[in-house]
Amino acid sequence: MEEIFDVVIVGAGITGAIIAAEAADADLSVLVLEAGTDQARTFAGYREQLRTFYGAPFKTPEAPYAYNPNAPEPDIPGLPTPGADYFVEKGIPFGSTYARAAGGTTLHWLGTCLRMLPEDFDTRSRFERGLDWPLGYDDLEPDYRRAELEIGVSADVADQKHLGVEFPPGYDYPMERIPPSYLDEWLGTSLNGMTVELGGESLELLVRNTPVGRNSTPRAGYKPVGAVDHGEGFAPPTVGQALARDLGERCQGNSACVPICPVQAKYNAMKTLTRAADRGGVTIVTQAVASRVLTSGRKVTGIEYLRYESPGSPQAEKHLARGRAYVLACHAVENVKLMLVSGLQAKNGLVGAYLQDHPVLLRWGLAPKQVGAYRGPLSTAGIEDMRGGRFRARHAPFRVELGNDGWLWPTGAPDSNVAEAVAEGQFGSALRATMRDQLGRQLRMGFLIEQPPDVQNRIGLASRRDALGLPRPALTYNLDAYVLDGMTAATGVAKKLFARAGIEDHTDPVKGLGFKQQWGGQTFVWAGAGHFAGGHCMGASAGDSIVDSEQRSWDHDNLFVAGPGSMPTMGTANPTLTVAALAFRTARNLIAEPERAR
Amino acid sequence: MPELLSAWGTVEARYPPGLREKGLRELILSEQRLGPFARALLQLWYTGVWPPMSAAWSLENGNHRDAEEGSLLAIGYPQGLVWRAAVGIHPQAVRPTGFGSWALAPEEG
Repeated sequence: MEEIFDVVIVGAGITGAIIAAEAADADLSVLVLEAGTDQARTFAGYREQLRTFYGAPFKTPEAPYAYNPNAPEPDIPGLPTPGADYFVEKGIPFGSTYARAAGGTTLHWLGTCLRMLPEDFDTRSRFERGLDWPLGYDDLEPDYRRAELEIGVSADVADQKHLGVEFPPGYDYPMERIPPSYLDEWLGTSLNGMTVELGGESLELLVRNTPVGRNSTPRAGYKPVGAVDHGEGFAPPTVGQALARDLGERCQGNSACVPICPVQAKYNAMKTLTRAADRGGVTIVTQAVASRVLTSGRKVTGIEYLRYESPGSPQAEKHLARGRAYVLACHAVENVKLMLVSGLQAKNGLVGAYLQDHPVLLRWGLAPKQVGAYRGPLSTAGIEDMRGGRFRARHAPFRVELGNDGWLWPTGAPDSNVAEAVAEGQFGSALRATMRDQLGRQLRMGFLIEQPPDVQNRIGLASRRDALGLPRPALTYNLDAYVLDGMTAATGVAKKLFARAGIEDHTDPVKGLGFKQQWGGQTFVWAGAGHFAGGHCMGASAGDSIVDSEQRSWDHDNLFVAGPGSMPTMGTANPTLTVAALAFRTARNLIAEPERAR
Repeated sequence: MPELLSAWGTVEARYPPGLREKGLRELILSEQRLGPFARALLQLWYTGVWPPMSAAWSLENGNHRDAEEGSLLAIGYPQGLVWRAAVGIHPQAVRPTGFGSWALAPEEG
């Protein structure tokens, strides 16, 4: 007879890994189904991805990860790569992507671990924008700390208390902050203390170190987690493999957080997943695509999945996973896809609704002196003061991510600089001198604009199918006036910051690689942030949401739908830390009460 | 490629060392067939990527893109001259500069 697990989890990303590890710690039996491969399980496999990255002509977040037609993942729309048309799109392009592999999208995240602001949890009540969460900052605060410990966040509390973000007395992050870059310090000398006006409100700015899931110098009692290296089927590592774990205990400055940290100094969910596997009681099956959730009345009775031998062949066998409780944790879009394929349509019609990203306004320029671009983590600081305030009633707030990566993101530098100089006829010592002069002075700012949930922006099913015959996601997506007015305000701020620091503005819609958007006589260059929210939003009642504050389905007593898709809003915080905190909250409630009749 | 090398031989023979750049411009970079090829080669040296040639050039001279391009790039990317041209910078995921090194003032080139 087939095994009935206490918990069946679909998806081996950060949400699935945390819930698996917590459930195993509570002595529950756990099955994790992962659609993609587990190439990152061994350090040798991980290094192979690094070679794929070196050889990729477009160094996008997906570049190191071989395309898998059986579990396809999106790539940036418009690129000549197989994932670029995975989404069937209406409206403007959705510029963000996610990974389908063990480890999930944390394989190629930047690592930013900002908490959401207290005011981000009830923007409807405060500003008549977005949706209120069914929980507040204080409810989530202990889980934020737990998530910071799991991820191994490097930051100093002294830097992070602002806009109402509070920490309990005596608390500090597991590791000291990542040293600020020379560029951060130089910008700070020009920008700290300057004020900008947003919606009539005067805000004072400060260049602030960013909390990140990247190993730094541990505080007392914390042991950094290095690279992952496990045996077949997530068996404990052999002595030889265990050596790899001594790598990545501290960031080396590889400047490749996205798309792949060569030594795994940056957290990825494989670290939590292998912790769960080491604990015992967790079965991880990869290359297993959940194809249908089976239900009977208010109960989930099983999950059908297709197990394939090789990404190169669509040959697959159908299996059934059975458990007492079920967790869908395969990212916003795939969670919605699985629900819709299975006929799990809520009466309120909101499965798939409220898709959000952080549209990133890109601005770039040349500093008046060498500031050390192309060194260190891709970003080590931001300007966070425009994330909150009364002006949010009028236009979207934003945070400013300061890039240490030159013009890599906005223009494809330094290759684009070489192409331009060569086309101008430069070669030899003149070409070398141009590169020497320009590259180290390059600076970019990314303005992450809040996008409130809009019921028209949604995830659905397309008629086109993938190699295994499952429907591709259909996305409808647009930017509304609130977001575009936020971009207008951000553009004004960018010009002030550049002028104050003496940065020569090179922002140019013709040379910019991002999407172009016209608004109010300006052309914005923008890109997706890789941040998803919505699709199965949480709320206070079954009438207006898909899950409750524990990510428990309103419609099925033993089903949890977890991950960024549950977030009704993101504010301006990169979402992963909040996703991880929610996973701890869900795990605790699932363990206490795997099933709840309503 | 042999044509390019032979043109370089002519530059070396006809132009004294101080005027070689002028020779390069006159006999190679401004030449209809060799110019685009030489510029593409410069980009390859600098970045590891062979750029797309213009349609007109490809029609006349053929366009032999190598099936092994990806694996060549895997070797070429870390060696790109652009990463040697400027002081203190490095290709992504290659030759890391060490913990905290990014906090130091960059060396002036």
